[in-house]
Amino acid sequence: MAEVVAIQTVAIILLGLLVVGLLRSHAEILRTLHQLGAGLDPDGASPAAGVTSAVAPPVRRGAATGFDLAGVTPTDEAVRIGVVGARQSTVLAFLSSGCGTCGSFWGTFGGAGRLAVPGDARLVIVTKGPEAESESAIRDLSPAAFPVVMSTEAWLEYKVPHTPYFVYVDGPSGRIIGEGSAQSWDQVVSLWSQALADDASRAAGGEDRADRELLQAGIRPGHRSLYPPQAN
Amino acid sequence: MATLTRQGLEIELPDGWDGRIYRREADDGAVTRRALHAANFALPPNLGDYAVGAAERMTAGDVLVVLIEFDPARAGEGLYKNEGLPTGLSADDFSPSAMPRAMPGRTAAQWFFSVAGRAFCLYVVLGNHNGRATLMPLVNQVVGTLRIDR
Repeated sequence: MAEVVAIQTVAIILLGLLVVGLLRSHAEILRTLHQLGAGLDPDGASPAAGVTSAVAPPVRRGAATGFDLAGVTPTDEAVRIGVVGARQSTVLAFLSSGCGTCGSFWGTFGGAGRLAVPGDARLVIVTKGPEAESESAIRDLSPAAFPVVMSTEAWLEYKVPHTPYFVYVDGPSGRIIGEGSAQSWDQVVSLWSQALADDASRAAGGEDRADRELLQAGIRPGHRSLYPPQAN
Repeated sequence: MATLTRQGLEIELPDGWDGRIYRREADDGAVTRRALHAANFALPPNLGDYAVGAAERMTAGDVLVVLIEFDPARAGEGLYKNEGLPTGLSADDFSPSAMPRAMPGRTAAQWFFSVAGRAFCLYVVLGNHNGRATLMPLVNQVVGTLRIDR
């Protein structure tokens, strides 16, 4: 009997050592992934990843264009959202049910009152598809006022690096005006207001420059070179 | 053009169009049926079967296409005696009085038909009754891509 107890004790100690080793190995892997910038939640971003501000700087894709969204809703509807070629611009909010920071956005979007969206854009929430996200959890979180599309393809097409993540797409041109991450909706509004102002400024600057160059070349409004030759 | 397909319904959507296909909510004991919404403007979420909430937001150039399936017991008779999806929709088919409730400027039309023993209603709403003739090519283009699986 004493031998059995001794053998069990040794076995338990060995198993305990094994578990401790596995936990340390797991922690080491997670730490390495964070250092590589593969963390999915800005809440957990380490200083080593270079995130020092509450708002990650937006990535400007220049001439990159958006994509229409195709997927399902949390109530199992097949859905397609026109983003490129739409009359209005679209803010895509890539959220998940599990990320800590996303919780505040789900709350804000589901709250009472009108939500200010820069440029009067349409807000669309995009989660991963049902194969990678809990349909019931998303159904419970879904706000009544905004469409929710579950589409892993959209995450891949927009190259979403982490959650929460926001992309602003100009409707008529389909151009991505800007994208980035934030901790609160107020920060997103600030981010896009700035991006829209920068975009408008760039557009105006380009027009002024073209006018200046034409004037320097002696071409003024009404100059015949500005009009195609008339066919007889 | 992009294809939206689900549950035996299919439609080709031009760039910038929204669409959704779903099973209608069932009352106690009722059998759920399919429904489709397509629009060239942003469809709000949580619409009823006739998408009245979307029609309320429509402006002059807007088009809303709704397809609703009804009880197959009604197929082939009465309202549903016409077989096959309607084609060649005409501006003359539209009337402001076909709106579910008065909405100034807007106009609508309904076509009831059957396909393979199933009963359907095609309901189209336009944002501007006076300008409906200019929207008909777009309406016919989109409605012409509707497919119902037999």
